[in-house]
Amino acid sequence: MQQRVQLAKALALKPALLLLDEPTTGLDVSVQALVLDTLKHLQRERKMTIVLVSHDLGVIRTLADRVMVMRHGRVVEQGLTDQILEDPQDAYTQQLVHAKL
Amino acid sequence: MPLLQVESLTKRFYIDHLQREIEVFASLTFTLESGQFILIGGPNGVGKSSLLRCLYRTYIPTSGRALFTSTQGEIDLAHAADVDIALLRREELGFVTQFLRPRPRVSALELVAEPLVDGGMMWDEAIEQAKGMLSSFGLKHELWSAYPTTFSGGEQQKVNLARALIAPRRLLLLDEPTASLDANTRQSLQTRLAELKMQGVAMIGVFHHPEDIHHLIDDEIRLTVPQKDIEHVVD
Repeated sequence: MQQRVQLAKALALKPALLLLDEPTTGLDVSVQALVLDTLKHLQRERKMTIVLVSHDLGVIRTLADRVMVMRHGRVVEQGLTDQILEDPQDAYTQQLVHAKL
Repeated sequence: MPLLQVESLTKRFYIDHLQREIEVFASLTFTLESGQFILIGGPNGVGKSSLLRCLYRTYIPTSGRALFTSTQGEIDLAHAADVDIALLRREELGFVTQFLRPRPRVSALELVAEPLVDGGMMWDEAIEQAKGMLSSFGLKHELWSAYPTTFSGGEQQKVNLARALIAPRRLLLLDEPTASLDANTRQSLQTRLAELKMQGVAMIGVFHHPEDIHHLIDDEIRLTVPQKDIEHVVD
C-alpha cells in the first residue's frame, strides 16, 4: 500500500523524469499488472522519461527501451532491451539472462 | 540509392561459458529497393532468422555494414547508436514474428493501436484504425476488448499480425509469419503484404512455405553451409 501511495504522490506532480527503485517488488500480481500498465500509459501519453532499477527481467522487457547492466558499481554492458536479453555480449550479462526461468 | 545495402555482414556468437565462438553467417552482401521483396531461403540453422535479427539489431552484427536510407539520411544499422535504432523502430523498421507478447490487462484493441500512438497518433484515431485492422484479420468482434493473454494461439496470431502491420514502415522483416495460420488468416496476410508492397514497403522474409507468398517474391537469397557465397535464385 505504501508503495502505491508513494507512486501516486510522485505522479501527481506530473514530472518529466520519474526515478523508480524496484517499483513492483513485493506487490501481488494483480497490483503489479496495474502498476506496469499505469507506467506504460504515462510513458506513452505524457512522454515521460523513466529510469528504473529492477531485478525482474519480465518488468524490464515490458517497460524498458534500453538497459544498462551493472556489476560491482560499474556498467558492464548497455544496449537495446531485446539485444541485451537475446544477444548479451558480456559474460556477466550472459549468466544473468540464462538464469531466467 | 537502394533502401538497404548490406555489405559483408557477418554474425558470430561468443558463448562465454563454453568459451567458444559460433559462426552463424558470414560475408552477406545484397541490396534491397523500395517495394522489393526478398525471400531468405535455405535449410534450418543456416542463420535466416539471425540475419533478420541483425538488421533489426536484436543481435549485434560482428562485422560488415547495413546501410539504410532513412527519411533522415543514410544510417548503418550495424553500428548506429541505440537511441537511433529505437527511433527507427518506432517509425521506419518493422519486425513481424509468429508470436504475440501480450501484456496483462491490455486489450487486443489497445495492443494493436499502440504502434500508432507511439508514432504520434491520438488514441481515439488509433483505436479506430485498430478496429479495421483486427476485422481484416478476422478476429471476432466480441474479443476486441478482451485480454489476449487468455486467447487461443490462432487468435493471438491475428492480434500479433494486426499489431505488426498497422503502422506505416519502410522496411519490414518477416520471420515466418505464416507458420501456424489457418487458411483465412493466411489469405488476409497475403492481401495485406501485397497492399504494403504496392505502397513501396520493402520486405525481407523467411517463410517455411514460400508458396503462400510466391507472387510477391522478387529475389531469393539462399543461405548455405558454409556460408561462403550467396546465390541469387530468382531475378
